[in-house]
Amino acid sequence: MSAVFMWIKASWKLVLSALAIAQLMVMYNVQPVDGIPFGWRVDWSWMLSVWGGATLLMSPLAAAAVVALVLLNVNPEVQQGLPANVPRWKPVAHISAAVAVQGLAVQLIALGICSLVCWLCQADPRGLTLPWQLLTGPVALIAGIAVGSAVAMLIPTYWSIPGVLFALFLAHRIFFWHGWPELFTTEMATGMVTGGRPIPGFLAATTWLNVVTAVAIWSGLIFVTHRGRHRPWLALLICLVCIGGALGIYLPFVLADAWDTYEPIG
Amino acid sequence: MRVSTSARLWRWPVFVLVVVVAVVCVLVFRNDSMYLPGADGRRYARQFVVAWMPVLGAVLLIDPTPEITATLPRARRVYLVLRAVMTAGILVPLVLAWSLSGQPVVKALYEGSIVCALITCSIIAVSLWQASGVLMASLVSVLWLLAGDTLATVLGFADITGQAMQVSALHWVFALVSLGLAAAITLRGAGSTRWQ
Repeated sequence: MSAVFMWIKASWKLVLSALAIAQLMVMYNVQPVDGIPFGWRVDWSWMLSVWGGATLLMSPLAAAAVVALVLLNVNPEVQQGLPANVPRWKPVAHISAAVAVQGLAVQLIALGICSLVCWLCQADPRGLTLPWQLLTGPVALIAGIAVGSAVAMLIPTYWSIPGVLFALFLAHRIFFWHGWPELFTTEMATGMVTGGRPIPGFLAATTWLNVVTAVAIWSGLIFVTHRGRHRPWLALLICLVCIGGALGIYLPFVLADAWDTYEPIG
Repeated sequence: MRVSTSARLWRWPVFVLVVVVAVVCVLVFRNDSMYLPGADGRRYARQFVVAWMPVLGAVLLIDPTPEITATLPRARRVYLVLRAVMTAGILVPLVLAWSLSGQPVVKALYEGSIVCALITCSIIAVSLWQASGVLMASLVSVLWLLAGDTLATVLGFADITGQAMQVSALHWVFALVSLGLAAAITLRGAGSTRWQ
């Protein structure tokens, strides 16, 4: 825990400020209502959609931040010099955890402020889909950070910083028009969806897909970067089970050719 | 070993490859655009080149062996050549794109102003903060991709509907000031002790 706290102390000026800018930028960048920006203030569901949708910028940025911090502080030369009983992935895990804590703190503070604004503006609560709307954003951020950890360990070059940022930023484009569960970044409503609410099954699938993907990436990393004789086969087994789980979550939506992510209220 | 080796040996071929890919993209998709979720309008292929080339080029400026380079009698000239090659490599695909796409001159002036501003930001950020600078320059690029039309309206390069306007003296002033800044920072560097 102290190692994570040390990395937070060392990186908060860069990471916390960049993630806060990203969250604010996305919260601002929606249709105004009555000519006043931050239109989500009139609808709780819209607010949570934009709040979680800020992963559009936050996930790529957090992943790139992990790569930058690893290259600056524990690059492969440093990793090779670690004592044999310290796994190579351990310092990367500490950095990833530090970035994750800062990302989740930004999300928590933003949620508190936005909830206060919605409460003061007497926003419409009918479109809420709880608890899933509170979970999709944080788990997508954690999955994005896992990608950053993997890139930092497997492709340790400075090109990887903009590379992972741009790749994750554009990743949501691929299946944007489909109603399939979303990885790393979640969709958001840039305008008010009157009379509709997010489909709970879609949000639940998105949440679990990001969870099993993050676990699969990290267990795979632990297996691949292991040094010494006794391979962590349990990590490989967890990785394979999680990949299977991800396919199990994803395929029903693909086979059903799902398009809708919203359903009528009531 | 791998970071410094890869950076030392591979950054030039990789940058040449990036420039070639950018040229091919602007030739093949010269008038194609796509909807970017969260952005304030459609984005053309060349606008991705505008946003990303300065950051990808700036990676060239991270010196894998600054202590050794600093001892060279011609260290300043080495860094100047690095910055000049980076700027030229960024501008080649864009000049092609602007001349072939048939876009209004005012749009080319706007994108020219932005790419010069991004080159300036990238050189300063990467020279001063190395890998952290790449991260911040990448964030600025993505923010421009999301809010580029709004910025064009604020700067007077487009009206409220996003339509391009007639070229005015102000547009030329913006473009030339931005170009001058980029040229100055390319020639002089960012003033970091590592780079002077």
